[in-house]
Amino acid sequence: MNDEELRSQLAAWLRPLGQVPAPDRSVLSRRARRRRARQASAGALTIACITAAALVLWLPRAPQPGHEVAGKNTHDLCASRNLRFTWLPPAGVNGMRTYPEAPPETYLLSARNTGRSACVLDGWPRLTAPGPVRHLVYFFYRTHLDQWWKHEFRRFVRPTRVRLRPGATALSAVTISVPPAMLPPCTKLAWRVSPPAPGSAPVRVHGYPTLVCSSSLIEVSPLYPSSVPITSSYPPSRNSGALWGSGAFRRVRTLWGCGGYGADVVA
Amino acid sequence: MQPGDDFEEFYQANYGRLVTVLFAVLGDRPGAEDAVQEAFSRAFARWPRLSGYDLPEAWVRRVALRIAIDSGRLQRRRSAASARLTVADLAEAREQSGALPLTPVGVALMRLPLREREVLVLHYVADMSVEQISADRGIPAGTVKDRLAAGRRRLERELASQQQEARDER
Repeated sequence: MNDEELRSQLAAWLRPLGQVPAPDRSVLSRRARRRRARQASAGALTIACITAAALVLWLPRAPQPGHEVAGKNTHDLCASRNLRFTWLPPAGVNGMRTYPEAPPETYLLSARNTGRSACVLDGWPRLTAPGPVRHLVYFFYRTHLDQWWKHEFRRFVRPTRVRLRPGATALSAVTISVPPAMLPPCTKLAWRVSPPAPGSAPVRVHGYPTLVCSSSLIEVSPLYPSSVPITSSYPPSRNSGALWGSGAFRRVRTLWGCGGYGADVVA
Repeated sequence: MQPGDDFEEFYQANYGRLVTVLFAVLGDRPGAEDAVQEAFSRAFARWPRLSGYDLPEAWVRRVALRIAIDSGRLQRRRSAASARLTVADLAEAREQSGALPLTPVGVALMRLPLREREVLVLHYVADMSVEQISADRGIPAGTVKDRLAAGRRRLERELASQQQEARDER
């Protein structure tokens, strides 16, 4: 078959289509309108997607007081389900109960990584005491703590990234000051705690049930490695172990005077 | 004369010819008409500029082919499926759907790969030279020649095999 034969055979096959009438021009106008609508909706969708992505990626999250340090990576933070929180017995209060006023007691709140992989804690554990409504306790999330260990002393613990291997433990020092008059009612509250991660769920604290009374003042330190002695500051600094009491009980005067990182009133 | 009057004339004069070319490439009349109407719709929006071109129908054909081929992954799959049918099955299916009846050369053309079919149609149906096809489709002239030669060879083989099938059936 030569070129001319091919041409003529194709022309014969396609001839009926050559007489196809063109549809009315309103068909073209409708198509143009539909195309513009498609382009507009596609443009709007694109802008919406870009805006949403920008909001998610670029805008900073609002910091929550006493909860976490803003601006850190959150992908490897410890989740509530992978942590077991336990109260350790009060530290350094032996013999103090003879004082006429109830001394502040320092407890250690331990967070153990029960997950299969390492994770990071960075910031303060958020404590809640969901007791009866009439119980008012005040939380202070601080970097300086006035603790008791035979003597009253000031200790500094600043928020750092604490990497927990599976089974490892981090600590937070929690000092509870009961008002002098032991304002009733006092109760053993069912404490709950949220790890420092955005949107983390609160979990129950196991172990020693602490006694708190109405108007108790509770100072909470950031989480730090469990290898750090209770009298040492962390990270180590010249403030470490600064002693400013001398054996005699002194009311913790910094609670109201110094600004903390945030305070909650929990009913 | 109204501004749209010369477009109307251009539209009526070229619509059928472009549908023919697109049908020969796609093998699908509704798809061909859809692509040609969409291309004319775009041309209408740009008509003040396009009317100044030497060959505005070349612009419309190029746009229609691009629309058809861009949306033509589906068509290619359909063509591949069609190629598996026998000539008799294919002709029967076309006639049942009210489409253009397929002649042996039409069936052979539809069995070609899209790249070769496109070049053959532009050369033998739209009467475009190798250079015009090269400029229109943005491919080197040598490639156009290669595809034309390969398409012709494959077409001959398809026609021969059809004749053999017809003889075997008798």
